[in-house]
Amino acid sequence: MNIFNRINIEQWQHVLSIVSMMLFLCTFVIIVVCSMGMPRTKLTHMESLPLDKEPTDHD
Amino acid sequence: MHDHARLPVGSKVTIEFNDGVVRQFLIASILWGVVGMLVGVVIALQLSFWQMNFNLPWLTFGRLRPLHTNSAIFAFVGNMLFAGIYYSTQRLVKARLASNVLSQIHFWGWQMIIVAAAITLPLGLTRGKEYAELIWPINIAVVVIWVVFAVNFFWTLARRNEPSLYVAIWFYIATIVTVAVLYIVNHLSFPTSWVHSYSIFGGVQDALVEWWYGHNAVAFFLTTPVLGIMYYFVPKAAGRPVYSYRLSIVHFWSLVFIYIWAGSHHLLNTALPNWLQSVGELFSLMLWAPSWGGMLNGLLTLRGAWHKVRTDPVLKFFAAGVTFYGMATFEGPLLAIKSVNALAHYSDWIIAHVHSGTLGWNGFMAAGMFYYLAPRLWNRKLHSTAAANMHFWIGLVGILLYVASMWVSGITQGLMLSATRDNGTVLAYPNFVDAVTATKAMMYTRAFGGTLYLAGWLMLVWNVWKTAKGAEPVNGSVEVFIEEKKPGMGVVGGFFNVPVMSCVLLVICITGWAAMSGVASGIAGWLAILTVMAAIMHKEFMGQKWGEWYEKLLENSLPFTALTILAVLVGGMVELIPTIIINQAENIEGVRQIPYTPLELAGRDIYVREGCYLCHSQMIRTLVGDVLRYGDYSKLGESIYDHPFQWGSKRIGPDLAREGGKYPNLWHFNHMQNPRDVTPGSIMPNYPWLYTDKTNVEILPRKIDVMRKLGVPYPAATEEEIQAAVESQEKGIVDDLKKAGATVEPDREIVAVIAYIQKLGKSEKVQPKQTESGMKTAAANNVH
Repeated sequence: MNIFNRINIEQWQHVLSIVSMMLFLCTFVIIVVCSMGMPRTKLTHMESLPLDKEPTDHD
Repeated sequence: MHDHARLPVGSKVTIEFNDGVVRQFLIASILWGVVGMLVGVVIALQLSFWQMNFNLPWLTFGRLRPLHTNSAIFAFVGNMLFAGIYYSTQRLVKARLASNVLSQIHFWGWQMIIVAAAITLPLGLTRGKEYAELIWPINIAVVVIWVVFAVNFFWTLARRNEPSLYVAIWFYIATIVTVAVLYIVNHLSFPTSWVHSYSIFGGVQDALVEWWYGHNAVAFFLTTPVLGIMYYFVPKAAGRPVYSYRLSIVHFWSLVFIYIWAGSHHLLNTALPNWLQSVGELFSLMLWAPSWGGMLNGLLTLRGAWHKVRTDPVLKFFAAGVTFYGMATFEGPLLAIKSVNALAHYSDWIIAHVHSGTLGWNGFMAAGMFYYLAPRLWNRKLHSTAAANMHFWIGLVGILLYVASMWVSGITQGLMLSATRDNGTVLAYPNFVDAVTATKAMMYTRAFGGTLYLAGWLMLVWNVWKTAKGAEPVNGSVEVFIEEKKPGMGVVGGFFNVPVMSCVLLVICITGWAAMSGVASGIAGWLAILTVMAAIMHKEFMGQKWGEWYEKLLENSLPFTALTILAVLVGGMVELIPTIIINQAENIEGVRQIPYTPLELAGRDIYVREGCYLCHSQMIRTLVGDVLRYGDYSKLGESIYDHPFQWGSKRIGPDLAREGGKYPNLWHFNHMQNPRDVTPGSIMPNYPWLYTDKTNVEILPRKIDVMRKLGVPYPAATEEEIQAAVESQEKGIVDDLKKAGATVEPDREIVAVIAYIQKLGKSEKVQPKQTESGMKTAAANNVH
């Protein structure tokens, strides 16, 4: 009943293309959700990390 | 443990950074940059004036081109990124580098590797794989020094006084672990002597591993560390925080995850299995999003500081560098579209692309960083801001001339070499050299553009020298309060949590839904829906705590590194393992390469030594222009015994996959002596030493033994039998040459090279092995 297959897989390797897409999709969604959910205080702290002044900073 | 480990919590300490090693790497990068760019200008001139090869083996294009690429990538950018990583990491984690000794071993070890490369490459000692040319003892040294770097870096993280890991540190972590994996896998070799080895992979396997490595060397050596540098130095120089920290998180994970899959786009329209070409093309297109997300994040960091760009050379270089990153990462996916690739691959368009990346992105980010660092590392104002601004404009004009000329040249080559007439049955430009002649003016322009860029760099050398001369080197410092250490998350905590586990389960279910049929597919589909619902319900129930897993991850380098390795390894394994299995099976498309005779093998090693693969491909693509010009398209089985593969990446000369038997021996004899005698207009160097140097026959038994271990079906033969086979074949070629009016001693290298070239394209037809399903179909056909 191949007509009901969503994707015709002639060689088993072809399924790997689908796996790769799904993996990325899930990773992307989870990271977007996590980054959007980060508290503002944490973000402000992270953003300010490179901005510490040193005595040898010449403006 | 760290020096202040025993101090009570809450006490204040001053930490002095190790900026000495930063200064060392900075100076090394600047000087090796001169070498890399100078060699680049020389080889650009060689493509304009073939006489600049000087008939000297160690000055020919084929030997200097690897010196150019290796010095630009590993010496110039390598030292630059070590300087940037060490400077920014110490400040971001508020800790001195863990070990002075390891820092010095790292610095001097890396410089010794570069010196070894600069000596061995012009001598023709090479593995014959692009950007992986260095011989195996140097490969081992690279791995050792990289491990020293990794230990020093992670040890510093372990001693840090800032719990959070800023996004730049993530990019550095990804660089360290991924480069290690890529480098080790692509350099797996079987030595035949102290200076020679054969890659353990052959044919399509080797091609895929090489470009998995080659593409990701660009990604994880030339891009991710420089992005880390961008995320630290651009906010620092602009005096403003990064535009969107949230975007930087999405940028990091998307980039790291996607990049590793895209390497196979270097092999489009070749014998590479189609599913791999599709994966490479698709993931390359997906790269557009994170790359541009990162670029916009970098540029928008300058919001409110654009007025400074007008006068501050540091910001000028950063703004242009990030813009070039955007241009190069727009062009990369564009070139990975199969139809565009058909035009651009093997042409100068690719040269334009890589140079907008290295000169524009890496070179300008390096210049910006050095102009930023020099006053801080020597505690003195930059000697000349005007000269730095002048450097910027000279460099920019240089890049634009270089890139524009290579665009024009590449598109011209692509169009001319694929053009047909008479309804696509005849080539419009059958003579390859027509495309070479047509692009001459572009070669001159490229050499001029490269010279301008070098001139700008020399201004930087002078400016930094004048800034540092007589000044007192200073080390930065920071005051920190000792805080109580929080309990770590551990590697297990990084994996076994609801978000990550739901992600894994969802991938399994959706794949099952798409790949299976009937009831099984339905069950998998419903399980996928249930997984999503369960994850959403769990998030609603847990509220803020759901995301705590991720926040903890940001403070724990170990599970963070483990997840990064996982993201990278998944892509690598999924691409590489099936191909390794395919090659070992009978999937050779009905033809199998005939193994080289001992003399042909010796000739092949000379071909590799001279870097012929840098100008001549051995891969006829599944394209009309290629097939009309070179013959039937290349099959998987035709290069299975090639260790290393020689498919090439650029056609400065024609493809040689079916060169064997195309011309008589005399043609090759005359061609290698002076190519213009048989091909007027050729820019190929002369190879006079091949007519005087003797073929190394003594090493052949060892080489054949190694080939046998790698799976090449050489029959058992004694040293005497190998010697006799060599002499017999040499005699046949020399006699043929003599009849045609040319004389040469049989033991000269030219005879071996002719033997090799005349073998190219020789294969045997193989009956496909009948599989079980195939036999069933045949039986069914018989019944009906």
